[in-house]
Amino acid sequence: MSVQIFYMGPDGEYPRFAGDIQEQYPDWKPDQPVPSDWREVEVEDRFEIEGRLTYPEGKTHEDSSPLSEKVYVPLAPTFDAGAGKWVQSWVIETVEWAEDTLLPPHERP
Amino acid sequence: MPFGSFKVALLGSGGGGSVDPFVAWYAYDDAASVDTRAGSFKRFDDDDNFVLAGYTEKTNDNNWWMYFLKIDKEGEVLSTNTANIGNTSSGGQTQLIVYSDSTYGWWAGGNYINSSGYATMELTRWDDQLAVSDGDATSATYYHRGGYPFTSFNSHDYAVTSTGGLVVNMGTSNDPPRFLQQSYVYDSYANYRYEVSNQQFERTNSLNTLVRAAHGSYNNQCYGGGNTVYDTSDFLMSVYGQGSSGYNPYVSRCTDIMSVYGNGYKMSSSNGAYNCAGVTILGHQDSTDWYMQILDIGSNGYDTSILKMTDFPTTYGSNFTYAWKKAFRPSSTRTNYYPVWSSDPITDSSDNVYQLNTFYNATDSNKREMFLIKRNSNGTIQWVNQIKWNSTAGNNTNSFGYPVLQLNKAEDMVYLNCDTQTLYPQPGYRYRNLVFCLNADGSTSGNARFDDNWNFDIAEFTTYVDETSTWSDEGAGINLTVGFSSNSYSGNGSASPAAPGVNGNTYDEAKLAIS
Repeated sequence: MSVQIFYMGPDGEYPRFAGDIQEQYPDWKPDQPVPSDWREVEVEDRFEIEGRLTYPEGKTHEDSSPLSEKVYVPLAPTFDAGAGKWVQSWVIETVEWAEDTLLPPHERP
Repeated sequence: MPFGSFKVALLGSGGGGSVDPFVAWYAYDDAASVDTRAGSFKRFDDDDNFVLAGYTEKTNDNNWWMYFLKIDKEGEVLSTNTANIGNTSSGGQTQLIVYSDSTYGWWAGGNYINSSGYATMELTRWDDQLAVSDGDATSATYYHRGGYPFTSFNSHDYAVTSTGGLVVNMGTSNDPPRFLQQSYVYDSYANYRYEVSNQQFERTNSLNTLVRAAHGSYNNQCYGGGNTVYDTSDFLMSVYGQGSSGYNPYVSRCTDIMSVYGNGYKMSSSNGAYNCAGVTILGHQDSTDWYMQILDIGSNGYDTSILKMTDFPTTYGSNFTYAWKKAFRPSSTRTNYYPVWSSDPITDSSDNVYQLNTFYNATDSNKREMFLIKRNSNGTIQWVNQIKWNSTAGNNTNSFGYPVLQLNKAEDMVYLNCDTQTLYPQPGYRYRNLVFCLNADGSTSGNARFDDNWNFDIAEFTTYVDETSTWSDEGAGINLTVGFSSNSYSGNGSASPAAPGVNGNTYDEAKLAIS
C-alpha cells in the first residue's frame, strides 16, 4: 500500500497536485523536494468503515435501498511537529440516501 | 427517394490551419427521414480522411440501420455504406468503430434489436472496404446474457453500447488485438436495475470473458461510463452507480484475461452533496498516464472535472497519484450551466488535452451549448471555444449528443462530431449528424448559417471558471457499493447472414465555412 501525497500551495491552497507546482516551477519533478513555498501533505489511509450502509429494519441489500451511508470527509491539513510533516486525516459522517434517480444521457430530455 | 440526393453548399471561407474551418451536416434521405444520429468518428488515414458512423431510420422499411460515411478533410463525402444485421429486423442503434490494423480490419460495436424486439449486444467485423460503398462485413455476432440472474431477455430488457465503449488493445507485435466492448443493460429480471457489461472479444469474434458491474442493493442503478486501453495488455473500465448523494464514478483495471486488480475504485467529492452525471476515461498503450472526466451535478453546483493520474496501482488499498485535477464551469454562478454530455478527452503529441462538454444553459431556456477546451500538459486552460445555436431565426436545438473529438495528422485542426435535433425546418423534429472543423489554436470565430436556417455561432469564450476539482478516489476495494466481477456468458450466436453493405446509397449533405 502506497502513501498518497497531496500538496499545499504558497497561500494555503489545498489540495493541489504536481501539475500545479509545475505550472509555477516547470523544471520541478514529483520525486524532488517541493519548492520552498510549497508543502507536501501526507494523506492518511482511510480506515475500513463497519456497517457502511444502513437498511430499514428487517431489510437487506436484497430487498431494499439503503437509508443512509457513512462517508469519508477530509479535514484540513495539520502539521505533525513530532513527525515533522504535514498530514491530512479523515472523519466519517453519515448522510441520508437521495431518492433521485438519474437517466442515462440518451434518455434525458 | 430511398437514398436521398447528394448536395453541397459552400459559402464563405475561413482561415488558420491546413483546412479552412467549416461545419457540415449529414443525413440519410433528409426530405423524409428525421433521424440520422451520431455514434462514432475516427480519422481513417494520414490523408485526414475520416469515418462517421451512427444509425439512421430508413424510410422505406422503418427499420434502424447502421451507416458509415467516409469524408475527406474538407468534409466532402467520399463514400457511404448502410447495413443491417441479420436481415431480420433493425440493427445498429448505437454504432462505435475501431480499426485494429490491415490484418484485422474494422470493427463496429452496437446494440441490435432482433425480430422479437429484444436488445442484444453485437459486434461486427468488416473488411477494409468498410468505408466505401458495398463494403462487406466479414462476420457478425451478437450476444445476450444467460445464466443467473439473467435467464433471458424479455420485452422490458434492453442494451445500449456506451459512448467510448469499444476499444482495441493491440498488445505486442506477436499478439492479436483484443477488443473490449461496454454496454449497459436494463434488466427487468434482476430487480429492475441497470448494470454494465464489459465484454472481451478475440479477433475471431469469440467472446472470451465478461466483467460486469452492478450495484449491490436492490433496485439501484449502474450506467456505463466507457473504457480505454491502459498499457499493452490491460484495460480500464468505468461506470457510475447510485450512492448516498446521487451517483459515484467507479473505475477498475483488468488484465488481458479479464481478471480485475483488487476491486473497483470509488470516486467521491468533498464538495458537499456530490452527484456524477457521467464519466469518461482515456489511457494510452505507451504511457501509464490516464485521465478521468466527471460531469458533476451536485447540490453545491455543476461543473465538469478532469483528473490526470500518473499510474493505476495494482495493489489492494492503494490510491491514485494525481498529476492535476481541474473543474470547469462556464459561469461563476454554479447552477447556470448543467452538464449533460462529454466526449472522451483526447491528447496530442505534446500531452495537451482537448475536452468537449455540452451543457444546458439555465439562463437561456435550457438551450444546449458546447464548450471545446484545450489544456496544456499541466492542466492549465489554453483556450475555450463556445459553440451554440443562433436563435435569431426563432429556431431551437436539442441534444448535441454523442460528441467525439479527433485531431488531424498535423494537429492544427480539431474535428468535432455530434448530432443535434431541431424543431425547424419542417417536418419538425429532425436529427442530423454534424461535423465541425476548427482551428486547434482556438482562433475560430464566426457564424455558419445554412439555407434552411440551421445556424451556428462559434466564438472564443473567456468568462469561465476553472478551479481545482474536489473529486478523489477512496482507494481500491474499500466498501464498494458497486462491484466489478467476472462472469460467464451464454446465449450468444452468429448473426446470419452476415451483414452486407448496401451499395448505391448517398446521403444528403450541406457544408458551410465559418465566417
